[in-house]
Amino acid sequence: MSISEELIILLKNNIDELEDTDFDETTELISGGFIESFDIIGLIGVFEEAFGVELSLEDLKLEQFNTVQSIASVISEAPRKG
Amino acid sequence: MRYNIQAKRCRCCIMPETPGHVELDETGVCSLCRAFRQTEAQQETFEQFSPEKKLAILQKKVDRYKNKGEYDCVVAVSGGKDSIMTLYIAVRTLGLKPLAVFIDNGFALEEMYQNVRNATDILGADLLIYKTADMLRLFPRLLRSGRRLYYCRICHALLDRAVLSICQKYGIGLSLGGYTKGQQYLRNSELFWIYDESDRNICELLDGDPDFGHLLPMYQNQQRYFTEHFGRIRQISPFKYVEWNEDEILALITRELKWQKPKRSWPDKSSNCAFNYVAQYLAEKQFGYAQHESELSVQVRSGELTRARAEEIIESPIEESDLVSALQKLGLTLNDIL
Repeated sequence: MSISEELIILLKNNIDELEDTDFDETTELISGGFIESFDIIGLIGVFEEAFGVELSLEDLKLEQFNTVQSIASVISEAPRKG
Repeated sequence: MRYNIQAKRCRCCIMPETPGHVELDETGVCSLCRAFRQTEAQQETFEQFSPEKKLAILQKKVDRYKNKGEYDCVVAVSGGKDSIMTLYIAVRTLGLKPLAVFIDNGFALEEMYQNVRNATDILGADLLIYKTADMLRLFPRLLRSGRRLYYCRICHALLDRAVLSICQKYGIGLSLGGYTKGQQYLRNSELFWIYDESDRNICELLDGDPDFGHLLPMYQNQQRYFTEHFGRIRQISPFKYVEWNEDEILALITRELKWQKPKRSWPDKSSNCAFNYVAQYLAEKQFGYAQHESELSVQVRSGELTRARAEEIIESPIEESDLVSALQKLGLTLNDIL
């Protein structure tokens, strides 16, 4: 399963607004009104757990969470957990 | 004498032309409206969900916090129409037992106190009033510096910190705020450059300050600060899920909760604190626009407000007497900000 496919499953399982929504890796999640800053903070922990990476709030721009595509890019470039 | 800044505005929303940040095309439409049309045309958005579905999602979210303690949630109430309506929604629509929290930053209007008392009495909600002198002590220093600062952002951070601290103290995991769609500022990227500059400036001013230096981490990175200190508290804006209609809200809270419009507040029909006149004047002068313009423009684009009404609101007069009155409370005069 690709990072994007796994992200879509994680988002559906963790964001009520996306549970029954059809979306793909280019759907705008923030500007489309589905997720907010609080959701992203919660998702960081979920993504770290699922992909074994470290995501630092200090280094992240919240706009990077606007699409599955951009999130996948962040995750693929993030350092692995030690 | 009026102190409103005149501006050339987008013909669709009300954002003012601000070189480098808000550009109008040859038809007078701003870059934000053009981008909005593109998003709406391309994909499904949350806005397109039915009202029933949105409310069901909201109910599901808040039900996770019910009956976990003495209170199900905190509702921050300013006495304004949006926060009073949020309290109403919490009690009557969602069936929650809230703790209403009213923060007086030193500039609260008398009508706001009465509105909050009436609403909590009628809805049977407990009320906590927290009055802080932080702004009265901090703002004179900031104003005298002459630096470009967005005072609403500075104040909001302090108020959020106070509200979330109260949540923590009472073991409450949910905080409801009366933020309209336009006030979900993560999406309003046109404000980011204003926040960045204001944050840089206040950090320079607070660095080493004996009285307020402890606030430096908060203003250096608000996202990190609030996550580290209050990350377990869920914050929800019911107006993301429930239709916001100015006239219907005013009719309901006037009829059922004895809400009264303040005699003087900026903008029209708001209950913003008396310092807001100064904050808005400086925002227009120093940055060209700020949250009010952005919020109203989002509401116009989403169909919640007509452009005509948004323009009427944003052009609410900023009179000299309002500025002088607020500044006097800080021991300052008009010359300190002109």
